[in-house]
Amino acid sequence: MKIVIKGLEVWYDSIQALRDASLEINEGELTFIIGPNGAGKSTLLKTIALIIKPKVGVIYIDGKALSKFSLKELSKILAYVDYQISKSLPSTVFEFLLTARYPHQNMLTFSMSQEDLEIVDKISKQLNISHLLDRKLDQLSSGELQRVLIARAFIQGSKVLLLDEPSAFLDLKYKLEILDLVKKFTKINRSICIIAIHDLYLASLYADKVVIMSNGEIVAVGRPREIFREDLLEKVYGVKTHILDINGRIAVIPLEPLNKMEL
Amino acid sequence: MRFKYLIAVIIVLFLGISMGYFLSALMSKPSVIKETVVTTVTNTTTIERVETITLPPEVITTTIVQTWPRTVIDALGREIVLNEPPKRVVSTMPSITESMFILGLSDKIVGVDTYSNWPPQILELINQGKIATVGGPWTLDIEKIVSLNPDLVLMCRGVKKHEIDFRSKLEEVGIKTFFLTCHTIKNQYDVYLDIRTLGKVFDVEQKAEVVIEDIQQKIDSVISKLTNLTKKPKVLRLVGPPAWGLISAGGDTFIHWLITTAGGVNIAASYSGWPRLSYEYILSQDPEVIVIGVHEVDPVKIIEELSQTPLINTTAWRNGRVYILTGEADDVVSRPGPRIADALSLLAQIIHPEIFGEIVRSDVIKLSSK
Amino acid sequence: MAIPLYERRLKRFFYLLILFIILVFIVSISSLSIGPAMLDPIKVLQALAFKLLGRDVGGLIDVVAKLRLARTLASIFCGASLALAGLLMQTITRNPLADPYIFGLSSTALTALALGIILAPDLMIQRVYVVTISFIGAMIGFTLTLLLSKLGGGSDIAMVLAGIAVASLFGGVSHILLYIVQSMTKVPYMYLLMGTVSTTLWGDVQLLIPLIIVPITLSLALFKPLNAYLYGDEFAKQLGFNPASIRIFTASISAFLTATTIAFIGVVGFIGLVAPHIARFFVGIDHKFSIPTTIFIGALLTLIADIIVKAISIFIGGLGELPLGVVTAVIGAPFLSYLVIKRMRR
Repeated sequence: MKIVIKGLEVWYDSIQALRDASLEINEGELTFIIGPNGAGKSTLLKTIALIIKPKVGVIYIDGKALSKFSLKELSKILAYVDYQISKSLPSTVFEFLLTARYPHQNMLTFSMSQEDLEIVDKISKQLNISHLLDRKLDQLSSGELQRVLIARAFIQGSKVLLLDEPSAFLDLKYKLEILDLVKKFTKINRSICIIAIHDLYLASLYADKVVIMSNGEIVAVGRPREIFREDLLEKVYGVKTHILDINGRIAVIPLEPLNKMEL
Repeated sequence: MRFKYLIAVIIVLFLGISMGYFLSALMSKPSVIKETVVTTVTNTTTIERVETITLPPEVITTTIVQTWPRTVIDALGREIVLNEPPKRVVSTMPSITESMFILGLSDKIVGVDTYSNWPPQILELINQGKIATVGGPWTLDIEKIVSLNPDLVLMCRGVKKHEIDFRSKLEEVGIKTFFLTCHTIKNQYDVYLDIRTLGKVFDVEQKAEVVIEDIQQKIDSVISKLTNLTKKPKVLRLVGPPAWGLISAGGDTFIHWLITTAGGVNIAASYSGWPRLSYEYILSQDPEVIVIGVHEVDPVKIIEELSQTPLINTTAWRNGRVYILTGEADDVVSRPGPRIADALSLLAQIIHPEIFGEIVRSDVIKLSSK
Repeated sequence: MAIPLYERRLKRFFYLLILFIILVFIVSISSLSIGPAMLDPIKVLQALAFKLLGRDVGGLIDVVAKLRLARTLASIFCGASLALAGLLMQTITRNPLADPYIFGLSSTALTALALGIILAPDLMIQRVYVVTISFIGAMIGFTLTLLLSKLGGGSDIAMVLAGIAVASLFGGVSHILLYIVQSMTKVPYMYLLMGTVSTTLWGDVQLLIPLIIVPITLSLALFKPLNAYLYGDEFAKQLGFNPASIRIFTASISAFLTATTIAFIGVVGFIGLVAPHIARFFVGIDHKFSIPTTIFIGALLTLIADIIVKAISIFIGGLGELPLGVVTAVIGAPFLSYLVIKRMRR
């Protein structure tokens, strides 16, 4: 499976959020998108998820343009996760997670299959939310909610996972566990996973491929070693960094901003 | 916790059903109809005026006072000082307008409410511009009234808007208001009180007495024929077509008094005001006479519509004693005012055709005459 | 963990549903037993049973039994209808305080009714036309709200605001028109506004039942899109559903149900607001559970309210048939305050 993005242009009213974005992503690859605020990370992710319509440009999956798929087919292919969920009517975690199996079911089937329930069971255990199944969504801590939202994506079983800041509210242990899980999932199922993230260290730990963006443009794409360089990071982030090599892994230590703010 | 609530609900409901059963079983069934129920007036020697035994309220003065200025007490108990008989008067209720005309005071009227339509001369006078209209009785146009520069504005006691809103607005601009009983009229003595009061205000006290005597004679002639009643038919009064709600008149209304005085029994007597009835209640009461008042609608169509309702199961329908009152006939019966004698005789004809003869009026449609 | 949890929920749903159905049945019997005619309930039920077998007992009992049955069935079906309409509205506006009338249906129905009486009074004295015109007026109101909301972007919030706009505009217009009706026909117009089941006839019920069964079935078939919709427009798209179509289609079903009840029994508030909450409290937000439960709870609440109306009319002198909405308001208002307080506390 392969995703090819050609020349995407996205506008928010009169502001251009994405300029001529082109990218190729292969299966089994855990891809991270990094960049400062407003660089266009979320926009790119949302455009791939078809939440935002690009003005120009096409996204191909295995040669077929995404826009040619029906919403139902797409639900089996893509899963996008950010932290937005409507909690206006009180829902339990279990009810929420069950809906993730709908893409694989007939609309009029009233019962859940054994398989569906087993998948929910398995993934709840993996993400350590089994004890939360009976809780209401608005009774969860932000970390718990985040794990639930990510669980939904896994349960949906799509081949393409698009995660927007999945580790934002998680503590250290869960940060690592989630990304670990995602990496394993990607490798085993040969799926595509694209993660937008702020934390450069995590990106360097887990990424197979890194896409660095700035001002709506893709500045560079490559392996972590190619992207995590002091000069490139300084240019894009405006921050002086120090790169460490630990056991073959890159660690990025931010030192100081280039332009200090006046008091 | 949740199931405790459910158990409580179940208990309440079981109580409900048993209550339904017990009450139905225990209560005597005053109105289960197998054949017509007869309520009889017991004695025939004394004249029983049902519910009309009210002593004439204290008359302010029986001697005719000629002096001006004079003080007259209005229906709100206020002492109104008049220097001379008012020359420009606004009437805010149809019954007041009628009283003014009957007393021959029509030339003094400069403004009336939009509901006033009797006598027919009024409409002509309005057309000719001699009398202005000042809005509906509940939505008076104060500015219009003020622009007519009246000496006196006649209003009704018992109408909250008159008593509170309109009165204060008029008095703010220095216009004199005078209240009559009109809306709270319960019987002919209240009518006489108003007429006498108007007589005092306008210096036509003798005419007032003549008018009163006339009305009383007409009433007497009706009541005297009802002295040997063996049977008082049950009457259902409906306001408006059944499809708009089964609205009837309670025991504290003017029409209730009319029905009772005309020798009938109002089946909605136990309610107050203008209650909404249910078909079941009506059927359980089984009225022998149905009187429906409508306006602006074809009465024949009403009868056609009635044949689609459960009212066809009543004794009234089976005997063809369903009367549709339209236009003036219904006005007369709904307005407590100087035409009270006409109202009484109209209803008496409807309720007791065996005594007064079948009613023949263009504005009263009877079922069997269809 | 998940599998036993699921089975528990299923079992609980079935038990509760059966319980509510039984309650509805019991309260219906109660409703059939009570009425101003003070007839022996057993005889009334006998008369109805005979009717089922095609025989008439004859006399007053027959007529009263039929009236009571019509009234009870109207309470059940209209109550179910309002409750479902309320549930659907709460889902698609994602607002737990929504009720079936937020699209301004009641104001436009009244306006249509008043216009009908003013323009064609002879026609409007027939119940057939009163019902038809009210229904048409309500559906026109819904269409207006829909169009207005599309102009405003078509989101769930746009719908609510459009509904408020239509309700306010036609609320004012209807009052003016109804005042004209009153001065024309001398019938106090307040009565046209108030909802009641006391004037429903057997013919009404025969029409009512099919009109309501169809939307109920449709909504049940939509349970998956509705569940997905609850979590957000984007989320619904993720699962392969089109939130805009869900909104329009579901709103139409809700409007149809509400218009039908307005046409036959007038405006009765609080059932559509309260019943969905009670249902969700017991069986959760999954629509395949909450729709059937809400239907029976709505029927139950309306039946109880009507029994109270009948009891008041029989035992408390002076009042006559209170509008159903008054009783539901008395029961519903404290519930509503509790809901509001609970939300504020969050």
